[in-house]
Amino acid sequence: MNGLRFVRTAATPALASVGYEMKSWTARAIAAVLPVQQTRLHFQRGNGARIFFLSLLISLLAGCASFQPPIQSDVSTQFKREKTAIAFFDAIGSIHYSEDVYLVLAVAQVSSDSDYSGIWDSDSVLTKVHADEFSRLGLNATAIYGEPSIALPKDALIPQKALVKAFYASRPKPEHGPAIAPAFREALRSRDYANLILVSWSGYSLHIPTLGLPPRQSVNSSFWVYDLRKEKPLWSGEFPVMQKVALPKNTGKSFLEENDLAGLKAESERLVRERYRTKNSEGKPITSIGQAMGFQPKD
Amino acid sequence: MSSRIRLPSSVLMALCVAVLVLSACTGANIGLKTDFKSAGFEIGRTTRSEVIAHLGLPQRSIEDPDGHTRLLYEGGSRLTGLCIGCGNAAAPVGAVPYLVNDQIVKNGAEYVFDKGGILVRKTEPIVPGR
Repeated sequence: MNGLRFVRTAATPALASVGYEMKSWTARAIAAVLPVQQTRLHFQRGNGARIFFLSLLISLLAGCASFQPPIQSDVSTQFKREKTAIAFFDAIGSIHYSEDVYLVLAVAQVSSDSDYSGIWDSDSVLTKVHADEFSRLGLNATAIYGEPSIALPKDALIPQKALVKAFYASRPKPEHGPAIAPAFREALRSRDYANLILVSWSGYSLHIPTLGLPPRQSVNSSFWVYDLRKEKPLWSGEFPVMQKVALPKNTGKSFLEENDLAGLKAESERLVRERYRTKNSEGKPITSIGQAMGFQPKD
Repeated sequence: MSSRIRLPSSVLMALCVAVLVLSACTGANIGLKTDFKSAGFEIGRTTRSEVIAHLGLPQRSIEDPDGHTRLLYEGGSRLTGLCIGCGNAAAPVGAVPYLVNDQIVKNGAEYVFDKGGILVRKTEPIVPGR
């Protein structure tokens, strides 16, 4: 508890800017580094190494959690007036399962991927989910799939999806995110779209630990906001979500894949929507996608 | 007279190990199905949906230029981490997985479907999967 109080009261501005989720586990980590009774920092002899490691830890965690500054308010206001296209491209197209296997004297990790490309059209489904959430934030947002008014040709979609896939495969990743295919941009501009919010993810993962620990599911969504007229990136950020999950059917594959992938479809949408909320599933405050981008006021 | 039962430390150790093993065994798992032969998929009759309904999603799905779809199933999960005594399951496993994972691929199956989603060719392991 003392560790938590320390973070809330004495943390650096960088830490203060990150969400509560990060704070709570940061607090635990800090409490592990510093004994509880020393949470009020005293610069005494012998504390130097601890303070050094604490500073290092804070710098690392702040780096992991920080978002770019929100889009300027005059620009974000334009998003509510001008047409914004929302596009989700699934660069992965498979579920990643991993399982820890307890071998008494050793622990092994095994994994398996399940390819749903050609079976579930995640691009279309999750584009609509993101477009719905951005519309709720007040944006003049349109999904690039399923809307007769936009109806982009395949010649525009295929090269853009290829660029998103190439971005995820590249090491190191380009700083400004995936490039925008000229055909894709021109198709949107010819339909009077001023802005683009491009979304992708690193795939849905389910990890099953050993010794009765609860399985965890996770997704990590990435967002890139572009001004299509000026052809420049405006904002980018990543929003990871990890949650405990109960497997009532006792296997990951049956939980997610039975009944025409009903579990995968439901859990993916739920996890994606959760990052648009200002509180997580446990009721703890988090920085929502809208707040980080500047489309939603901070609490 | 005390009612407490004192067990030898070796028995206690064995009990702890047994509890840990049991708790590990009863937990959830990935649930790969590898009973390829027993499924009895028939060329010219079985559909892609039926294969997926029985075996789950494949590890790879490939669209051929001629319109055929190939579903590739591996004969088990791949070993991606192993650590003896340290508890870090994600530790690199050195040369071991090449042997293990190669065998997993060899024990896998491949199903090819035409444009209408009907099974036209299959390759299953000679030795039934685990």
